[in-house]
Amino acid sequence: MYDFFRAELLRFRLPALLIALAHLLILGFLSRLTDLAQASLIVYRLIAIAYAALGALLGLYQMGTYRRPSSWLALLHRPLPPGRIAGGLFLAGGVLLVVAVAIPILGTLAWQATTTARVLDTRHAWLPLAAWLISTCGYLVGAYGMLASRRHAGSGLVLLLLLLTARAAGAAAIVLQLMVLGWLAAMVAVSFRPDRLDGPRGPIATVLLALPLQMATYVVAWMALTLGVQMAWMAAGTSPTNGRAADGGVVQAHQATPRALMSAGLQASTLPQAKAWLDGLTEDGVIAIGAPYAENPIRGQLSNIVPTQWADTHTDTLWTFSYDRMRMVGRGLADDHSARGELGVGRNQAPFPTIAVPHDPPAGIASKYTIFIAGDTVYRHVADENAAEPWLRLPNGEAVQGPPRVEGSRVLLQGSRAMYVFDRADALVRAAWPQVPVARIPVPGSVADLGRVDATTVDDGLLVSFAFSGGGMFYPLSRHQDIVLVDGHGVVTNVATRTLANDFPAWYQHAGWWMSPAMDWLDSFAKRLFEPTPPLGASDGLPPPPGSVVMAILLCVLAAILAGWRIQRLEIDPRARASWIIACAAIGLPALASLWLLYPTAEREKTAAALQAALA
Amino acid sequence: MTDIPVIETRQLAVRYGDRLAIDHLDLRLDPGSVHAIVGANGAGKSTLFRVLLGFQKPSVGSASILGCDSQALSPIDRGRIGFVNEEHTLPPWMAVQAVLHMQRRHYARWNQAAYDEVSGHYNIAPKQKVGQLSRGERAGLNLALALAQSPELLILDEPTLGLDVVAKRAFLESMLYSREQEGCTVVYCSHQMDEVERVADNLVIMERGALRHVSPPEEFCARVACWIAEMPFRGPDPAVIPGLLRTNRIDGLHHYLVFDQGEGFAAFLREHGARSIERMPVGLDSAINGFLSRHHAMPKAA
Repeated sequence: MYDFFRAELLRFRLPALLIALAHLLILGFLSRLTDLAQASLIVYRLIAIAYAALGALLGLYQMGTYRRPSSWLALLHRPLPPGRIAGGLFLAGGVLLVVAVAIPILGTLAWQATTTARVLDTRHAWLPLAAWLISTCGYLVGAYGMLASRRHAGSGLVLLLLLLTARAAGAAAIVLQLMVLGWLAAMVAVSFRPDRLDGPRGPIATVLLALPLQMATYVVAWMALTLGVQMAWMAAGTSPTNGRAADGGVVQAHQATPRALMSAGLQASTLPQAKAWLDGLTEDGVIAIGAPYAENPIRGQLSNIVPTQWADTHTDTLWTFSYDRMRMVGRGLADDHSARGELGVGRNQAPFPTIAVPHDPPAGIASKYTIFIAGDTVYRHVADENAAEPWLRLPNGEAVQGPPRVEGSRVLLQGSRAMYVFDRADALVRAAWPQVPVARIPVPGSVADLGRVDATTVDDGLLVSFAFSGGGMFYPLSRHQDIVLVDGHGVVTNVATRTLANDFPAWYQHAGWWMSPAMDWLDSFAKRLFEPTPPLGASDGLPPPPGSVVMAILLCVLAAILAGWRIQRLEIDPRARASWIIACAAIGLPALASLWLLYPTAEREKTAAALQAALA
Repeated sequence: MTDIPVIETRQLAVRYGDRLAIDHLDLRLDPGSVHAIVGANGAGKSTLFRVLLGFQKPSVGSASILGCDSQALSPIDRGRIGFVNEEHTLPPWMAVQAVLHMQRRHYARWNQAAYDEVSGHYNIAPKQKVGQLSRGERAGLNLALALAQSPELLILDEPTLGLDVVAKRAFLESMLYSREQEGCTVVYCSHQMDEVERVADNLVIMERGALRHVSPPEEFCARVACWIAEMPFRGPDPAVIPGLLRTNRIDGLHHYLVFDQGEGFAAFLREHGARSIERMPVGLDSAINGFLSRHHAMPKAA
């Protein structure tokens, strides 16, 4: 094993060093332009894709040089178990990626920590490891692509896709990356054998190779169907998102002006005042509050899902939230390196209780002061004291999920379970900070599905419209619009409820489910593995309609029948045959596809048939 | 010496799509000899080696090598079998010294003297990269490495392909010398009949995946004869000529290359009007050439 390890290291040492140098130069250049430690999630994702691609290229090239029959034979025909040969080769690949990927990141972090006033937290120390894990996962995907039969060589990509779509954060994300790495390493290990193109041997190898393949075929089929149908609708000019939205539907509710949406909702009201409210609506009189934030940053998170930097031009300071100190840390805005101290809560600069997200000053109130949202409190920057003062606070620890909005004499603040109303005049009195709400408006549905909230002041109080059009308009969720009235005493009355029509047919919305309920569950399970508790709770999903249930059952039965037919033509032992048929009955077409792709074309039965004919 | 065959196949068949690369092959090769396997391109020789070394699963049948199931070779079994292929696949990025060091560590019965003896025929510098060696030097290095493993069975798959005459001679001498010293069984696959004639104790002829002939080369040659006859006219219809391998007409004389035909063939020729008849022995090259040309692919117009 050591010999192969050393040989591969020597083989790739120069390219690895050159790539490391180029990587370091790129990171150094980008660091001069921006603070990479605070870059947005999309930037991190693009960089992660580049690392995975680099790893995949190494895997493809390295194994590509060995996969030719003569080279493969020369590599494996020796008195060493294939596992030890593979260990040497892949360990070397891992070390090369440490050199090319992890060390330049570490160098950049060290430069930033020692020569700049930029914020570096403990969470950033995990970045080299995360980058190495992602590139190594890509490396193994590339290697598997070369080792496996072309029929299923690309199935490892689905595990990379999982890394891109998983909701785990921080250390949990590292654990997930390790799990994916382990799975990919196992896939490569069971494929690293002399007759590498033959089907998997044994139940463990079969599960290791079949499951990602099933998920890959499921994802490809789902995307092909849904995107294909969407494209066809667009081409025909009948797509709901392309000018043919259903009347009173989700798309229309999403695209309507605040007044139009409020008006549509009020028309469904049976209250006698509704007519007067309707007539009194003006275009400027209804304000859009928007949708609540679906995610909140959490401590230890490697990426930055929201910006935590803000610029105080009056004091020439760029403030960055430090996850370690739980305070804002300042540095010179113009010179980019001089330290400007810290900013915490109150005069004693106490740490924020949770990650504080800076926001532009709200229009209509305190419009000169930056605000910070952290947990259940909105803080206001008090420039004279260079401190953050608690300003608006929600009861019972409920998290603030959006910036405050002013409507008439009220300030509205979206919480994770309800909308809160504060008195605007009181909010200006610093002595009464932190303000408590004067009214609580429970959200009449799942907050996670809220697409937009609009509000207007009427003679009787405040009308608030909740449109449950969010959570992805293609997904099967409970869609409705509710309008409530909050009177001067804070009493909440339901004004109207109307169902929003689904623009997309049920079969389309449930395509992911009826194609394979098992894969649909696994997809959701894998993405949600180690997911932090969602601040808005769960979506109000609709159960599949009877048509989709029948379709799912039919497809599973069809898959089982076709598997029974196919399996007779393969050389698989009887227990495995039964398992495959059961798997196809439970999983459906993705399992059948994996059966078809994993095992090479049945040569044996042809030969057997030829033999029988010869004997006859 | 044991009675266990070094190679044994039973009804071995390998199919690629609609083509049978190996057609129900029953082959048994005994230890202690140099077995030459010859056949036209596509005869299934390389496929046979891949099956024997466990790199290709047979469609039907079984194969064993040194008494072990070829699909379940252990690392120890592999250490007993040397293999040299036509491409002399060695990592081009490694120095000769590094390759040598690695092989030495892997093979418990490493014979440094054998390596030195064989590699001495070639101008190979230890610090030279494998990729910088000429094809002949690479072949020599490959053979030296294979022989130094002290294998019980050495499989050589067209090892001299593309070598110049000097390199080829050095290669064969090295192989024969080492075989004498080590006493290993050699399976030698080649299209070069002069080499086969020189090294083989046993001749195996394969054609389109099937076994056509097994015997010592001289026995095979003895069964092939070239009859030269002066015929008044066209001569007999080739379809009725017994054992005909090939016929051609040179300077007005009919040359008939036939297999397994005794003096009765002279009578056959006379019956068809031959005025004069002469029986000529043939060399291995011509004999195998004639044997294989019977069913060799030809353009339709030919």
